[in-house]
Amino acid sequence: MSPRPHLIALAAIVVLGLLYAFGSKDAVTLDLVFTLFLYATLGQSWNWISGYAGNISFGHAIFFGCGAYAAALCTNAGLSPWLAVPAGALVAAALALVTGFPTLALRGHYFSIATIAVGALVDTYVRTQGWLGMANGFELPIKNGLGWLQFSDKGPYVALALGLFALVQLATLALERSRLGYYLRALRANHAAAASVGIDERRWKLIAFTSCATFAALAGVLYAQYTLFVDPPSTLALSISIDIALIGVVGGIGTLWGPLVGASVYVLLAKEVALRLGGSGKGYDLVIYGAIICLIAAWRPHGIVGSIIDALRRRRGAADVVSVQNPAEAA
Amino acid sequence: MSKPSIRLALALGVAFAVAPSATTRAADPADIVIGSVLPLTGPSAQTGAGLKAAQQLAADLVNGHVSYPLPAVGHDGIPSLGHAHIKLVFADSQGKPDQARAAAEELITQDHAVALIGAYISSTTATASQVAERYGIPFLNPDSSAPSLTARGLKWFFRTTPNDAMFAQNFYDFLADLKKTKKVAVHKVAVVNEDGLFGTGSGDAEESIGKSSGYDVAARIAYPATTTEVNAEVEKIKSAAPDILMMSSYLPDALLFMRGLKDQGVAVQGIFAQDAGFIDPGFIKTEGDDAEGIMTREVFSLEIKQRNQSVPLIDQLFRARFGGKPLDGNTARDFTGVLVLADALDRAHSTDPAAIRDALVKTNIPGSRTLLPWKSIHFDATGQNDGGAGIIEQIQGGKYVTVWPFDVAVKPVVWPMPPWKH
Repeated sequence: MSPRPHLIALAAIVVLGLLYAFGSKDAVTLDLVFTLFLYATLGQSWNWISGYAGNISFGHAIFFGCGAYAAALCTNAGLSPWLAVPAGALVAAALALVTGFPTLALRGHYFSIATIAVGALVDTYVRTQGWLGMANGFELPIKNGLGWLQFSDKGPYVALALGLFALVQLATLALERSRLGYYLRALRANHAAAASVGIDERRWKLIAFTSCATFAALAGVLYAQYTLFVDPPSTLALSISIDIALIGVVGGIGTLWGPLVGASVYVLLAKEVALRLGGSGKGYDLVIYGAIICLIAAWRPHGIVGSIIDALRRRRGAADVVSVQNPAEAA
Repeated sequence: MSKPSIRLALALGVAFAVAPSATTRAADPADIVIGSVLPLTGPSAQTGAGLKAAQQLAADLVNGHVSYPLPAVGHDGIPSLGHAHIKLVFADSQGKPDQARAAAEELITQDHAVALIGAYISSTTATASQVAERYGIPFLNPDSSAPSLTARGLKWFFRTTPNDAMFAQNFYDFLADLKKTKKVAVHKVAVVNEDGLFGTGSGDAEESIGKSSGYDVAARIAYPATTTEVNAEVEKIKSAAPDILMMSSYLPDALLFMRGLKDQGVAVQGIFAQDAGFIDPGFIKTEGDDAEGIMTREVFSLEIKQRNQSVPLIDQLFRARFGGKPLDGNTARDFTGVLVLADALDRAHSTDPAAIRDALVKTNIPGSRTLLPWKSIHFDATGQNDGGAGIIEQIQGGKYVTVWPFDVAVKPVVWPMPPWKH
C-alpha cells in the first residue's frame, strides 16, 4: 500500500494542529491537545517494541523519565534543556540495551517481567539518590524562550508536541516499509520460521527497543519543560507505564494510527469521566475507566484501529491480505 | 460569647447551612471568583470531597450574616467591595501534578479567578502554584506540608499551614518544655521513616533540627513503606540504643515496627510519630495496651474549643454538610484558608491580584481567632506562615489526648512511656 494517504493525513493533522496551536487562546483545550500528542508519541514508542515486535513492555515510563529527569537536571543546573535531548535519549537507549539484551530473545512473558522489574529498580534507585531529588523530585525554575524550551503561551508547546508526534509517526511509517519492520513482524508472527531464514531476533529487536526508548525520552524532556515538575510518581511509576500500554492496546496494537486514537480516547475519557463523576468523592471515575478498558479488551481485542481495519477487509472480502501486513491479526 | 448566644448562633448557622443560596440578590456587585484546585477524583478523592465541603462552608459563612470569632465571616460578603460575595470555583487535580497545572490554568484563564487556593497533595501544589506565579495571581496553600514549597522564592505563594520542618521543630520544642517541667534526660534520637515523599521530608527535618539542637541522632533509618519485614531495621535501632524514636510510617509498617520493637525488647522513653499510620484507628485497635504512651503530632483537635468557642459550632455545620463526619486537621485548615483570602480581599479594597497579594503580605490574624492551635497567621518573606504550630497528642486510655502545647493540653504527659506488656 502506498504511504501517500498516511502522509496526507499526517500533513492535515500537522497543519490543523499548528493553526489551532497559534490561533486559539483557550488554555484548557490547548492543554488537552498537548497531552494528547504527548501520549500519542509515548503510545507509538511503546507500539514499536510491543506492537510491531510483539514484546509487551510494562516499563516504558522509565524512558520517559530519563528525558524528564535529564531536562530537570539540566535546567536546574542552568544549562539549556536542549542538552537533555541527547543526554536523556542516550541514557534511555542505554537502559533499553541493558534491559533488552538478556530478555528480548526469550520466549513468553520474560521480557514483560523484566521491564516491570527494571522499572521498579529505576524508581527505587531514583528515590534513594540525593542528586536525583529522592522522593521529592525537582521543580524546574521558570524561564522563557525557545532556548529554555519554556513559553508563557501554550501554542509553542502544542507545536513542539505535534512536531515530535509527526517525527515519530514518519519514523513509524518508514519502519512499516523497512527491512526492520518486516523482520519484526515476521519474528512476531513466527519467530522459529523467521530465525530459520536467518533473522537475528536479538539484534533487530534491540534496534527497535533502543530507538523507541529515545522517542519516549524526547517526550519526557518536553513534559518536564511543560509541567515544570518531575518526581517519581509522575514520571517513573508503573502506573504511567500501564497508561502508555493501555493507549497502545485500546487504539490498536501494531497499527500506525492506533496510538493517536488510543491517546484521544484516553485523554478525552479521563477528562470527561472526571468532569461528570468527579467530586462525588468515591472514586467512581477510576472504576468506570477500568470497566471501559475491560470492555474494549474483551470485545475489541485488536483495538479501535485494528477493528476498523478488520471491518474494511471484511467488506472487501479480501482474504488475500497476508497477516504480516495486518499485525493486529497476530497480536 | 455566653451559652445562649452560642446556641442562637448555632441555630442560625444550621438554618443558614441548610439554605445557603437563599441570600442571593439581583442588584449586587459581581461575585469575586476564587479558584480552588483539589483532588476531586483519583485516589485522594475522599479527602478532596471533605476539603471542598470545608472551603464551601467557609465561603458561605463569609457571604452570610452570622458572626463567629473568626476573621471575615458574617459581613454579607466583602464589606470594602460593596459586600460582593465570594464564589468558589473548583477544578480537579486528580491528585496528579500535570492535571493540577491544567486545573490552575483553567481557573485563571476561563473562570478569571482573582486568587487560587489549594491543592493538598504537595506535588500538585508545586505545579499549580507555578502557574499562578506565571500569571501573577496569589496562591494560598492551606494544606501541603512539604518544606520545599516555600523554599522556591515564589512571589505569589502563601502557605498558612506549618510545614514538616515546623512539625519536627515542635517535637524538639516539646522536649525542651519537658526538660523544664520534668527531669527528663533525652540525648540520643533515632529517626525512622518510610522512604517516600512524606517520610523523607519529615525524617530529613527531624534529623537536621535534632543535630542543630544538640541531640545525638544515633540512627537514621529509611525503609520502603511496602516492606514486609523490618528485623534489620529494628536491630539497628536496638544497637543505637536511642532515648527516643521519631517515626514517619504508614499503618502496616508502623505495626511491623511495633512488633519488631517488642520482639527484640527495645525500650525507649518515648515514641514520636508524624501522625499517618499511628493515628489510623486500626493502630490502637491492634496494639491495645502497647499503644499507650505513644505520641504523635497533629494539626488540629476538636479540643481546641478551649481557645476558640467557634470550633464546636463550625464542627456542627461541617457535619451537617458532610455526612456527619467531624471537622479534622485537613478540613479545618482548608476552611481557615478561605477566611484568610477573604480577610485579605477586604483589606485590599480591590480585586486586583497585585492588591490582594499586598494585603496577604500584611496579614496578621491572632491564632485565637482561628480554629487551629497556631500563634498567629502572618507570612514571612518566603510566604510561610511563621505563626503556625502543631499540637502533640498522646495515647492515654486507648485514645489520643492533647498533651502539648501546655496551654491547650487536656491531660498531663505520661513520661516515660510504659514498658511493653505483650
